[in-house]
Amino acid sequence: MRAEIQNMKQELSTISMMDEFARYARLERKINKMTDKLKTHVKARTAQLAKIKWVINIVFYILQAALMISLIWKYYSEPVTVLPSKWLAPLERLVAFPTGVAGGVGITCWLVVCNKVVAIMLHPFS
Amino acid sequence: MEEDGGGAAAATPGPPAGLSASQRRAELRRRKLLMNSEERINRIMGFHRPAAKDDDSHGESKLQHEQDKSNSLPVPSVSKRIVLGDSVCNMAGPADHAGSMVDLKGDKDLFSKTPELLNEGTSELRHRTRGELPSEAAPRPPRHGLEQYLSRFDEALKLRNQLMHEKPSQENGNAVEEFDSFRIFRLVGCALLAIAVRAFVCKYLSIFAPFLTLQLAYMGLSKYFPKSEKKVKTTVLTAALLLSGIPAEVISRSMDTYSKMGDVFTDLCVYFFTFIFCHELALFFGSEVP
Repeated sequence: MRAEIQNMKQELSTISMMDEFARYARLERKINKMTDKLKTHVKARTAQLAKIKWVINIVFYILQAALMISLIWKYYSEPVTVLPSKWLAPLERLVAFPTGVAGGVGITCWLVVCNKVVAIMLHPFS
Repeated sequence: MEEDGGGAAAATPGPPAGLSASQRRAELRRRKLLMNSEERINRIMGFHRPAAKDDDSHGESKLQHEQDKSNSLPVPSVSKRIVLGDSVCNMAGPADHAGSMVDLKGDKDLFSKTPELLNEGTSELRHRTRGELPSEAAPRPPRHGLEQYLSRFDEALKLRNQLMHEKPSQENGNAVEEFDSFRIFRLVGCALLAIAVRAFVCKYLSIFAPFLTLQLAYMGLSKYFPKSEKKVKTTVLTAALLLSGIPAEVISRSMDTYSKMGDVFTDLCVYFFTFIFCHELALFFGSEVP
């Protein structure tokens, strides 16, 4: 459609407005009509793309939440790593949650930390 | 139609005598249309006229009265009104609006003077301190709910403008760059500290103690970096809170605290991640048992 509009514009530039006014006006009206049609199409396509993007985002967030919940569910009692408990004082219980292992790093804490770090790393690309 | 026009023309000075009948009719019709439009505008603006016979003079006198009211405001309040947003400026007149960008003051000034400004506005806003009610504001009749809502919306726009113009114009060019540099500086500092702590300190001390020390150092160092954290990114939330009646000062301070807490949490995450990563590397390569 864009190529067609370009062609018509080129054709319009070859027509003398004073000599062939009727033809000129007819072609101009046609160009205007085509341009409006193109705008409508572009708008519709943009709206559709935005909708698809929104749906993909929602699906992605749901999958991410499901993955996290399943990881926490599966590894809630196993620490990711174990450090000497005095290194993590006074927050060792919070860090170890929900494993309950002294000095352990729980999956919940580790997921939160990894989420944040990945978000920071991806920030320049977003 | 023409009879109505004639009736309306009776209240106003008639057309010149030298006109023909058709010209006179056209003139009457034109005046009738003008009067109708003016009446409609007055109805929209909320000026109720008691009688139809003195509509022109009465409407004009009311408009004049409103203008006089707004023009008779004291000078400092006008300058404050100017600061706080375009819509408020429009009420004060075009001359006030023209000087709106001239009298920008500091944030504290803006916030501390907001209640006075609101007392002089068209409606009463919630975040006005009650002790500062002027004597002239009390006998005013209550305005329409729509106007109150619009004035709250003006408040939202006002805070947005404040957030946008908080920084002086000379910093606008490289504000984002400086903010990024400070943020990168913070993150790199946290990562380096985590490596150092894993290598030297953690055997003697909790790993959170050096982190807290580093945060204190950052608080001191932040004075030497241009502050550009307050961006327009919280506009929607800010507007929503303002429209729900929370004072602008409280919102601004809360946002400031919230952003600082977010920065500290980000630093903590980077620090902890780097520490655990280094610990695992040390365990893997050096087979060092803690």
